[in-house]
Amino acid sequence: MRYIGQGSEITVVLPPELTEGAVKVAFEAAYKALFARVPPGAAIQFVALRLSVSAPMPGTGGELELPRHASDNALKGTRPVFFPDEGKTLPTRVWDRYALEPGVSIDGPAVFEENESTFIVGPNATARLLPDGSILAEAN
Amino acid sequence: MSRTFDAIELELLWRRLISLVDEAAAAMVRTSFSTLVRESYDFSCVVTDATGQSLVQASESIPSFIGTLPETVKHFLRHFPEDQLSPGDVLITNDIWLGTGHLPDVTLAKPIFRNGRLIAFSATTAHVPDIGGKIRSPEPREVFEEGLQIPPMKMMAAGKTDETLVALIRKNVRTPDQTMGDLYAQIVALDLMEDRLLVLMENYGLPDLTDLAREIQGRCEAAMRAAIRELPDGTYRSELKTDGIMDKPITIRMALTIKGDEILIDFAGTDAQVDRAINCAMCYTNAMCMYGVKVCTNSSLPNNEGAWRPITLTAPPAASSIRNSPRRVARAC
Repeated sequence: MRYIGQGSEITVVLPPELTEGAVKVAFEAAYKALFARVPPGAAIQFVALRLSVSAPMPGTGGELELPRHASDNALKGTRPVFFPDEGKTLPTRVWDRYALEPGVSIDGPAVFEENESTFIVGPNATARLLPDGSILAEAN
Repeated sequence: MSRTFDAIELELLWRRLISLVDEAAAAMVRTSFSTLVRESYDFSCVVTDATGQSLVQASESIPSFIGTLPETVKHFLRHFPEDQLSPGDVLITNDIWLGTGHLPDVTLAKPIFRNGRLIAFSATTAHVPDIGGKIRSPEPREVFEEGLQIPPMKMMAAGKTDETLVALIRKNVRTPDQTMGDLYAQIVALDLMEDRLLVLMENYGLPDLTDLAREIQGRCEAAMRAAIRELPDGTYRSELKTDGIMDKPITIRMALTIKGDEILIDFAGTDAQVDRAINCAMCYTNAMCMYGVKVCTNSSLPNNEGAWRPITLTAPPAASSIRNSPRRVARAC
């Protein structure tokens, strides 16, 4: 949106109720946030209207189906792993992903092994197993 | 006790000053109602110290306003001394002798206060879409034919708009919405410069701009003097015969004297002014001379008052390139 005669537009989030008054209030608020004041008496125009729609993708909402291994065999061992950010090799515990219990929290450095992939977590992060079996790694 | 700045601190402060005027210029482009500002960049934004000495100017500006805008701020101060200024005031004029030499250029300035003390001005000049009068014509024989004249006034007093002045402007121009819209775009730029400057001063604990101005202007003056010193001393003469008007050519003569680290520019011998609107006011002549010297000597130097101190201009009072007498036509394109 912009004032008629201007060459630049600003993006305005329109209010739920599309009345002239409410749209004007939204435009002026967005304009003032950028430029502090509005030119008195100038008329407002739309340059482009954008509508965003969101909907779940077909096929989403499925659940992970992972093999389950006995949890007392989760720790497979320890091996040295090179971490470029640290500039050195650190002794790192290696976990069997399929043997981890949901809710378990493991400090990095850590290696999670599975059939298709290997997931490495650095020394300054913590990995947590979510209820659906996904691994969430977060920097400390 | 005056404050000194180490190299890093000074560079940071200086760059942030340049950045804040550039930001104001970008806001003007985005809020303007005319292609003169948006596409031709026929405007400028400047921050001066409390005495109207230029500190910093927007990077993309037309050359003439580099020289005229701080001068107009000094004229504002003569009309409105510090005790007559308040926060929220916006001063306005398009007086050709105090401004740029033609009426469509309207200058607005805002005094900036910190802890109750005047510490700076934010200022802009922009070529408005219309100011009344004959359009783009050399025909006028008096300035009155060239459009609406706005003497130094307060368009806003302590934040309150002078609606009488606004009504007068709207009635006297062909494009009231565009002209007023652009004046408000200029005020947007003034407010923005004020806001950013006060934040900057707060961040760095600057009570005023005196020490920073001395440092910045002093360095630019020294750099300009060093550049002039490189040039061989002597007097260099040039003349230019223009088409003139009504089949009478006009000759502009200039003698430029370099002596040590100073330059004197003299227009003696230039043809007399003519009674048509093609003359050039002293403020504009001055600005263009400063620009010319600067691009030939030290073009990358940031624009501020210090750079112009080594340069002096003289001209006969009624030469066609320089008009001093009021109530006569003057128009520079």
